[in-house]
Amino acid sequence: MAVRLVRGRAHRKDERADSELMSALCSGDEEAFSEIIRRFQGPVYSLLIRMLGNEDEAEELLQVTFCRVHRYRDHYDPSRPLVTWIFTIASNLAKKEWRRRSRWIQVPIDNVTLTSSIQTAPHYEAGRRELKASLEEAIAMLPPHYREPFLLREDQQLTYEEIAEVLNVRIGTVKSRINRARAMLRTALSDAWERWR
Amino acid sequence: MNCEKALKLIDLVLDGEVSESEEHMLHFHIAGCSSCRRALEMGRDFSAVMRQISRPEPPADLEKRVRERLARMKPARRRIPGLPLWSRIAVVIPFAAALLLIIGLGSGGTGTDDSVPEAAVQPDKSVATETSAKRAISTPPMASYVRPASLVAF
Repeated sequence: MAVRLVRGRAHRKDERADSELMSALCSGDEEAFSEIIRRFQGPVYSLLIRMLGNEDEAEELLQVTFCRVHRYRDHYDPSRPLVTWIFTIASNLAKKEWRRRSRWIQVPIDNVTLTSSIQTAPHYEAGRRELKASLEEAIAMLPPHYREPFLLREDQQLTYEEIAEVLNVRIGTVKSRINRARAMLRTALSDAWERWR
Repeated sequence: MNCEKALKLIDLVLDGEVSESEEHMLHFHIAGCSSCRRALEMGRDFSAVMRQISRPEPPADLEKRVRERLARMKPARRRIPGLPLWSRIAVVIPFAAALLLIIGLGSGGTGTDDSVPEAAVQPDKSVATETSAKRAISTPPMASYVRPASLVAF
């Protein structure tokens, strides 16, 4: 009977706002922490896996991100959106990982031959799949400082202001980096896009 | 409007950050520029395809692993709400200074003042001693260490 009650509570959707969850966590409500993980694990994992290109590293840093959210919960400023605070933690961890493994040196995207650029798209669906694969591949080839703001904008739908806060750069820098990323993608995917249309 | 300006506006259009007048200007340019029109179409298609790309699933037991990890960690120092680091340091400094002053007075400034009289360093044997109850060590009363005010002044 008791088990059923507990299960029923666990599946109930938590309607609290992000900032309410954080203040509840600061007051010792561990269920609030569970809800924070449920809400943000998908977006943060998506960013980390695309930034690091490796599932194991992304999973490791995903755990560390939420450990830091829990440990440094008192440092959270309730006037700021929780999503930008959590993305800032994840982004800083990813940068630290790049520095550690010296992955800053990237192959220039113009020199990369995309496997899906081979002209073998037999019909429309294949072309659609091809553009998806090519796009993912081309994004993975972008330099990290262009890739990150591009993903935060296109994948996570963050505003310029939020991206600037996450990356700790000016809004003008965010705009120019996103513009540059798009220009690089246009160049790299020109052929694949023509076939996809 | 040249193509460079148009490409900047295309990015604003894609991000929904463009004003109505700017969008009007862009469409006027695009009507006569196939290169910029192509860039706008590509950008729109890439955004649409990005939305179709499925997000990778995080591990199912993430919360369990995070909690296990937290249990292995040392607890973080709790922050005093409303007091930033500099103000906490500012609170501690006067206490530390007072403590040092007390220690300095207690030790009588030995080794720093050559004119300290013999009487100030060597307590008068005739003065009754106070006995520590715990360690049974005989110590002279504090008054015997204090220098006469006239010697300190001159």
